[in-house]
Amino acid sequence: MNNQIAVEISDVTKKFGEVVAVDNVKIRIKDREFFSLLGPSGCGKTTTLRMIGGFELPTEGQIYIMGEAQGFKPPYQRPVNTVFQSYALFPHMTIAQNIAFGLEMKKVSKNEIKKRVGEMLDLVQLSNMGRRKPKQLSGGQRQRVALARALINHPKVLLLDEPLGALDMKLRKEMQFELKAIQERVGITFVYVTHDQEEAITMSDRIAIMNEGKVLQIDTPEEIYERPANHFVADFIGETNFIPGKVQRTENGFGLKISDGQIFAAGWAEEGVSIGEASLISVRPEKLRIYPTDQSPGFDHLSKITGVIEKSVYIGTDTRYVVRLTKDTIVQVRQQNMVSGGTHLKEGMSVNLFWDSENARILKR
Amino acid sequence: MQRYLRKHPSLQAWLLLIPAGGWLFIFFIAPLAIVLVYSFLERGTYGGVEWAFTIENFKRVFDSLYLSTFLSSAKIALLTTVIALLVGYPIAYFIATRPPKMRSTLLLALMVPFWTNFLIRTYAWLTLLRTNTGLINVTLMNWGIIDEPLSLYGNTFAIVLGLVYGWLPDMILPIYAALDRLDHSLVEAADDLYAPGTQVFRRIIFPLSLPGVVAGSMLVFIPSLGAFVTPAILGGGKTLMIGNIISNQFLAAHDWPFGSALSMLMMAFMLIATLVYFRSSSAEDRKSL
Repeated sequence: MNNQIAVEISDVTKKFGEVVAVDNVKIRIKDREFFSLLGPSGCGKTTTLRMIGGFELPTEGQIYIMGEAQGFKPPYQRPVNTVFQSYALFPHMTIAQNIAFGLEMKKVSKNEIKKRVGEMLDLVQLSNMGRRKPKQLSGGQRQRVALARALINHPKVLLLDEPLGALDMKLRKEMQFELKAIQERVGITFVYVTHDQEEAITMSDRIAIMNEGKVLQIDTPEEIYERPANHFVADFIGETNFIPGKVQRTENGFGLKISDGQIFAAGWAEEGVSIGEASLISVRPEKLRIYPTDQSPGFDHLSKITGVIEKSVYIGTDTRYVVRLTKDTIVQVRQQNMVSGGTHLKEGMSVNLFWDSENARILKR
Repeated sequence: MQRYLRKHPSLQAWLLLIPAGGWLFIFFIAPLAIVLVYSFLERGTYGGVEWAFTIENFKRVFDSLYLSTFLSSAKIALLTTVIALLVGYPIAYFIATRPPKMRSTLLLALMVPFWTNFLIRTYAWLTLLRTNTGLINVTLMNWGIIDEPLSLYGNTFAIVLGLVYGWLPDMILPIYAALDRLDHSLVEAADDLYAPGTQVFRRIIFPLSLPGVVAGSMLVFIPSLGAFVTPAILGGGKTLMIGNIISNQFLAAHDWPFGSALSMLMMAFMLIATLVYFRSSSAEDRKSL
């Protein structure tokens, strides 16, 4: 992967009347990257994608594709193609005619079109389907046609608007890997819009998390999961505990003082959090290790806090514990069942929780 | 009774068919049968029929006088349909592309004239088009734009104008419905695939609105072919359509059987035209598979 920028979204704002759909967004997408825009519905991700495609124009700011400002260019003058949410296949044309459409409009010669349509049908494994109509195909097949119809034009950037949204779970999983494989094969930048975090995490090189028109974090899937930058991201991606308390300096760093006076140590604090302020710690359930208070596992390098098991649920691969720290603070702990039956702790037991303070992050409320 | 019906669901189904079936029988099948039977009978002296079988009526139908009227009626109907399509499509397209709120206002505006009786509206055209006293000619002459009155009335022009005016909403509404149903993302997809506006229309929008165009054309062509009020008023008694001849057979000539035979011929023609159309359109579908 080189470091050329394929798409630069430079301080872009989009207003629909009074409503701010996209709020001062800055994103730089690298060439050949699989980049996802992830967020709940109405977060501005689709509007952002549509602005790259030219279906909407920014109210403020500029979009550059391969270094070139796009300004007010209409979709057909941009070096991008789109795979639409509903596929938007032309119902009155055959699969082959659908795929050929872009080249036909570009006035590519008939022989060339025929050759490339054949190649594309092979790429998406629909070699024998060229003469069928879209309505004779299954959802997954239509999805591939939409992909082929866009890719045949060799766009610099492919925009995908929740392309797997209409498929059932199993097919979706299959298509995730297939999409990723195709992206690697054709070597084109993919900008992928989804509200499904698992999908984004599985496929993406990098993800931008959006909410209420703003970009909240841009990072690799691992960074986003392990080191969420703020409350929204920590909450939106995966499961986490939010433990409330007041920010406090400690011997070797800082932590939150919870209501019974114990300190919950953290390794990182969001910018703008100050000592003494009411705040939250985010720590993922699987980052906490749980041991009865009468055992000493020798985790002297880890942070520690004491509580009582309120509930313990065995769910096969894991056991989930609800541990009460204080009258108004509980945490979820997830422990892998490494040895059969061996580690299962009883409700009411007094326990110590251990964690690496790097995995606990102080976030603004 | 109820229990008996529950045990015999097919009887229940038949009973449920009675209202609709009865309606169809009384107002469609029975009159049609009467017309069919009358067309094979001899005329009565003062209207009505003599119960004697003959095929004379159908022989007369193929008389060149009637055939040529029939042909010119078909021409007028076709011309009406084409003009209504050329005028109606842009209007339908305009309405379909307005914001939703404005769309309903425009559709309402389309309907408002039709709250007035058709006969009255046709007479209104008469006052506009009449040769010497018509509003258009009088105005143009007063302004000195023309010296001689234009012949706007009593000819094919006036009839086609009246028919287009009368049936235009029937053309616009189905086309509007088809355009309204059109998935806008298809237009965006075509846009995305380098199609300029004219190509988007030619390759995507128009083909996908064809069902509306076809429905609209049928809805205009069929009543135009059988029209008799419009040609009677705006044709000035000089230009006749097949509808006028049929109505004359019943009302003036008192030749009910011959009027019936002409009606049957017209229906046969429409039926064949419709069948041919559906055949060819479904063949088109098969070919493209």
